[in-house]
Amino acid sequence: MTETQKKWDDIMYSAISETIESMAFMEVIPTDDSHEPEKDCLCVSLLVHDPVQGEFELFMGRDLITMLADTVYGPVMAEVSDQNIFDLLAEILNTVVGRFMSDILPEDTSFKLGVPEICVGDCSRNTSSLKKWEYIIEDFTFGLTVTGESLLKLRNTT
Amino acid sequence: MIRIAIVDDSETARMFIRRCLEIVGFSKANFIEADNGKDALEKIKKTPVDLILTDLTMPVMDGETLLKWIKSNPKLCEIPVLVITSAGNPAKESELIKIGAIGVLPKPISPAKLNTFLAPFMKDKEEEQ
Repeated sequence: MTETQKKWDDIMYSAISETIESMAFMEVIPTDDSHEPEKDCLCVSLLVHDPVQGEFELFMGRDLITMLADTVYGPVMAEVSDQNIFDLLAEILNTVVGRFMSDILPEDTSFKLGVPEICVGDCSRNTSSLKKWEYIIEDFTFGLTVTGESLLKLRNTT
Repeated sequence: MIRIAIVDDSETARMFIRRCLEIVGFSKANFIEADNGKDALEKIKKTPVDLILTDLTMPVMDGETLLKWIKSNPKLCEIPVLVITSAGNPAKESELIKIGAIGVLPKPISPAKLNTFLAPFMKDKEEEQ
C-alpha cells in the first residue's frame, strides 16, 4: 500500500468514526478482513459532481443500522420506521463523504455533492476501479466503496 | 419566545440539530422545520424567525440560494443565518460569509461546536429580553 493510499484510509477512518461517534456515540474499528455482505443489507449511494466525478456507496446490515437508529431516534421516537432508517443511512453517508472530500481536496477547491439515494441492487456490487473500506461497530461489519476514475486518480496526488 | 428555523432535507439531520440546540440552551425555542430552501422561505414569510440554520445541498432550493434570498429581502435580511453542511471547505465558507452567513459549521455537528457560533447570538437575545 502506498503512502497516499494509507492517507486516504486514515482520512476515511477519521470521517466515519467522528460521524458515528457524534451521532450515535458508538466506536468504529477499521478491519482489513473482507466480509460477506450481511443477509439483510441496506445500501445508500451519493454522487460527487464537481470538481471530480465519482460515487460513494455505504452498505450496512439492517441489524446494525436499526441499532444506530434506536440510539439516534430513541430519545424522541417510540418506534423507528424504515423511512427513519434510510434517512439515517443517507445522513451518515452525506456527512462522511463531505468530510472526506473536504480533506482530500485543496483548501481553495469547492466541491459539489448530489443527494443521497437508496441503491438499486444488492450489497455485493463489485467493479474494476473500486476502493473499499470495511469497519466494525460492536459485532457488526459494514462497508463503504468509491468508484469513479477522476475521483480515484486523486489518490496519486493527495 | 425565540423562533428558530431548521432547514435540511434529512429528517435525521433536523432532529439532530434540534437536539443540539436544546442542549445549548434553546429548549424553550419554537422550532420551524423545512426540508428545502423554498419550503423554508414560505414558512419564514408567514412566521418570522430569529435565527435560521440551513444545510447547503437540498433539492428544490439549496441553502446558498436560500441565504441569497434572505439577505436580499429587506424584511428578512437581519435574520442571522448559520450554514451547517457536509459540503463545506475554506473556499466555500468565505464565499457564504461574504453573502451574509454568520458562520459555516461542518457536519457532524456537536452541541459544543454549535455553541461556539450561537453564544454571541444568545447573549444578544438575553440583553434584548
